[in-house]
Amino acid sequence: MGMDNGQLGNKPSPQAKMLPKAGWAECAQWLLGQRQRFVVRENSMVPTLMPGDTILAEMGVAVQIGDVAILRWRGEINDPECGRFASSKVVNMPSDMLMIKRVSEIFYGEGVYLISDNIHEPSARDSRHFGVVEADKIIGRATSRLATAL
Amino acid sequence: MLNNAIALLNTWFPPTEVHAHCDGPCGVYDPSAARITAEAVLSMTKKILALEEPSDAAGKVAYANTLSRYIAIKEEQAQKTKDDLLILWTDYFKPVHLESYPDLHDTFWKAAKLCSACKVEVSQQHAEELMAAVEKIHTIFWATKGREVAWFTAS
Repeated sequence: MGMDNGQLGNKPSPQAKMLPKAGWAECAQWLLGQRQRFVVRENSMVPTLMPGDTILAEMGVAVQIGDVAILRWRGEINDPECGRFASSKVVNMPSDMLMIKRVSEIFYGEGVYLISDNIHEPSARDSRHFGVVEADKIIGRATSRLATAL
Repeated sequence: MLNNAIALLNTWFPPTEVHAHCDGPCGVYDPSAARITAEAVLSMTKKILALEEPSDAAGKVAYANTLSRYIAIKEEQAQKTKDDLLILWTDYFKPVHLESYPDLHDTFWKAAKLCSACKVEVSQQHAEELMAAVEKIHTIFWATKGREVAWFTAS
């Protein structure tokens, strides 16, 4: 995750859609509680999202291919890459965290394949490592970028 | 202007964080892994330097075998130390840590270089310098977590 690792100049995949800046309508929906505010950490969604960007997301909606999804990771990860680093990192550790990834594929509405926009970031973890994610783990989709990192 | 307003809002009412990586599931860091392997490098270096070559044929075979094993372990443990240090450097430490420790990059770079030197050479001085570098990283690491963890060695 170190900034030194980031391939900051990578282009997103062709299906990747850039997040629009939040307009008045988006801001109004946020104020009405129809959008939730998040801040992005780490750089594996660069260049779509920079670390520190503040985004708005619509919660509890189904995602489409190309959407930027927010998922709640509550399970265990079985990551051979992490296993390689087992001396410094504990693998298969239960966790509860929110992640943000691009929806690459949807399988019969039940499984979602998620990918990082910055796939060249060595520490990026996505469905290439932990496989297809159950659709019920997706809790929302990013709709706009409220502010960019200062 | 809007950016500044949102930044202020984020300070007063921090939003929920979403992670682009997934370091949470496997993001437990501890420099003790590097300490243990660096100690092994120092131990093997000392053993290699202390090893005396016998004059008889049977003794020479045993000597060659032992020396090879010591070298292989030194090589392996030095590489593990390097791997562990690089993970801490690139995954754990963030730009904000540089504000408190401006020589952070230099510290890690030199420590990684020492790992390479310990592989290439049989140098007790470099092995001891590597231990000192790992101790420095240990001190910085736990300071960033606001914890006092005493430095100790197994040997």
